Amino acid sequence: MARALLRVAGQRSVTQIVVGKPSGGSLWKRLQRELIIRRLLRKSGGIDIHILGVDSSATGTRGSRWPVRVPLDVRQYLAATGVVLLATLVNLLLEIVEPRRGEYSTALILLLAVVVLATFLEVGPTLVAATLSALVWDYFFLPPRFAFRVNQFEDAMLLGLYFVVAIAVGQLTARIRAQQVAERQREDRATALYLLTRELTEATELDQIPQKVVERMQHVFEAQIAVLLVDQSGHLKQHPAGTFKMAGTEHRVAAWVLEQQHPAGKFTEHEPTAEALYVPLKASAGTVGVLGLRFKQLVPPSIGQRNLLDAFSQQVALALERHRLQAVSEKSKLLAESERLSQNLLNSMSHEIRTPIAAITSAAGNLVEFQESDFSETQKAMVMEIQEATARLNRLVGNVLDITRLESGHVKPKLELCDVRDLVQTAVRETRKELSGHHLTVEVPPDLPLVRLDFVLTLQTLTNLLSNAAFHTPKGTEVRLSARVEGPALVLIVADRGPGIAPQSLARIFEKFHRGPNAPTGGTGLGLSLVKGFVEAQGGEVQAANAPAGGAVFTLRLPLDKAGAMAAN
Amino acid sequence: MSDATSKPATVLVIEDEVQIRRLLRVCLERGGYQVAEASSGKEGIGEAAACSPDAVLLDLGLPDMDGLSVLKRLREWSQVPILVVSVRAHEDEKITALDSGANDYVTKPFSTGELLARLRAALRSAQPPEANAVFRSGRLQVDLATRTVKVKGQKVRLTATEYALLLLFVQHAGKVLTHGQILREIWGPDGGDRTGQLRVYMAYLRDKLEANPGEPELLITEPGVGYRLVVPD
Repeated sequence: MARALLRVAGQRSVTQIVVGKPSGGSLWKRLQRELIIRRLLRKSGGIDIHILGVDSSATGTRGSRWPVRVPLDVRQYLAATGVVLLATLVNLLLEIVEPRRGEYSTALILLLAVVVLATFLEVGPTLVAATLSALVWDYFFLPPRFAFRVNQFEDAMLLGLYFVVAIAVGQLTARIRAQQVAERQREDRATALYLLTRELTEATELDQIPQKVVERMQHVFEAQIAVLLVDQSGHLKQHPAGTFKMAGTEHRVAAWVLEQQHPAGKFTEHEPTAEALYVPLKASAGTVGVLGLRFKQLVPPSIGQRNLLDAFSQQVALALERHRLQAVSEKSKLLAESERLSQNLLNSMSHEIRTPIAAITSAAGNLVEFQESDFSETQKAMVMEIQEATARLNRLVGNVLDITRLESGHVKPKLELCDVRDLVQTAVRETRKELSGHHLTVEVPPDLPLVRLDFVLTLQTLTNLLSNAAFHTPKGTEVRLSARVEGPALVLIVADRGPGIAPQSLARIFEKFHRGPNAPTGGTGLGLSLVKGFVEAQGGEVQAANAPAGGAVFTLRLPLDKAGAMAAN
Repeated sequence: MSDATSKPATVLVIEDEVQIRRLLRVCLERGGYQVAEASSGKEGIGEAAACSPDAVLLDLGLPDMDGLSVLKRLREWSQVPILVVSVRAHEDEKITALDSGANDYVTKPFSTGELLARLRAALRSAQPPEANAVFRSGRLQVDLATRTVKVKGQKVRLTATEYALLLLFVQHAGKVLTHGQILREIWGPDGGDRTGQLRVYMAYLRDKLEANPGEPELLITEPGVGYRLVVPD
């Protein structure tokens, strides 16, 4: 026993062993235990040994000579008595056949009976058989017959031998039997674990896992099982496959287990009054659930059971984790597929619609650019109309595609260090034609730092706002575009001195297809929605207001990260 | 076109839409070019080998193979200027096409004038530059032999990096250079994370070369793609 302990300690690199001080039990048991401790102390080497005293009144251990779990079987006593009687009968018969036989041959036959019994029966019945044999031999066969008297020392020795043989053979048998039992239990556990692992591997649905666990475990542990899984919101939820209904307090214990990742409940130090024992299902990404076991047995689970429970919970956690990862990968595959589909749709849409637009634009362009001299004024005007209408149609298609991309979440800002001056210049260049009749002033401080933003999205925002100003104000109106850094944000302002925004429109101005009461026709109704979408895609915000001195003011705020701003000079 | 008088340049149009092909033919022939046509990628590659065109107009949305693969296949053996003509307006696709060897990118719908201007620039850039040539664009004058830069006849002092940047634009005058291409050329293979520096040097160059740095006319930003040095016609 001591050697086994030290071997295990060596395998696990144990530095300390705690043993209980021997108390209670028979003198023999106590002596055995003391011997174990003494051996431990002698051979432990570098390992610290702690011996703890036990308050015998608290534990209330009663000295029990035999292990409690061995059931006292009446049939074994009957069998013992029967076999001894049979041996006696055989002896009596032999006496009739061979009357001159000595008393020692009868003693040997009785001894044989005791040996045979000791190999099959428990220690108790064997001792009963030994006692009976001794009495029978002394009374019936040992001279003086029919009297309990022993005259010679050899006879007394023979009587004593019955007990020695019974105990020795009985102990041997008991030990072999115990080993057999242990071996069978180990095998059962290994098989159970193997079967569980196989079933878990075969489980294709998440729901099958608790089902299999409950079926397998209630059999192996002779307990009622509850399986609690962590749902998407992070709460424990009991799976319907469980075989016992958990009360409210039990749920509290399970929640504690989930949080502390430590077993609790019955047979543990935390909440020992609970109905069941709860163990966490620990996976690499944290605890994925809790197993509850309501044991039939009244004694705490043995070390073997504990080890098996550990192995089971590990396997279950692994299976759940595997399932979760599989679900995640499946979902992302699905997402990628849907993204690809919608991208394809957008691409073919833009291709199918824009190709005819390109044909019209190109044809009209050819008319103006090469045949101008042959054209009458009316014809020229007609071609101009065609060009303007196609340009508007093209803008509308572009805007619709942009809105679709925004709303389906396909706009992913590409944040790069950008020169705000360059951004503003490009926006002005791209809207030069529309703003040709307006007075545009640009105010960008020369020491503006480089800013991390999506150049194209911000450019589209600015061109949309500038086109919007050009569209909604009469020619000759002053339009101002300014940029500055204000706290942790880049602020871009497009302001005009036009009629301003109608008060009833202010709240809805960024809505799709919203038109102000005095808006001229020809817009797409999407420009400002796109502005809002592009700014928000970059984590910024946009506000529309009327300046006190008159005119509309659009203010964009784009957040600056500290690493993003870099001195330009 | 100066060389149109001696021998008209041939332009190969690879485009599956018959209507666009017809219109391009009209517009190119009026511009003084000879036109060859192909309606699919495979046909286009074959035609490019057969008629050895002076320039290629390539649509990216072809029925039989991806326009980008056609581009890469052509680039395996030919340095002919290739203009990509497509409705795919997204910047990433422009960058991919330019990085795969396209000389320029025109988005449908385009105006005839714009297309012809881009085509002229691409054809010009295909001619080998003379060793001691002097590059002129508007007020800018760059003497490649003496490494002197003049604006309106006034000598301008540039730092080594600024000159290297300008030289790169002069060598590819009229062509869009992507951010990635510029970063690799100036700062080497691991220059990819120096976008901020590129922005700063572009601002310096504009300050020194442009008449009004607030409205650049020489070094134009191609939003989300890169920059282009404008060549006057």
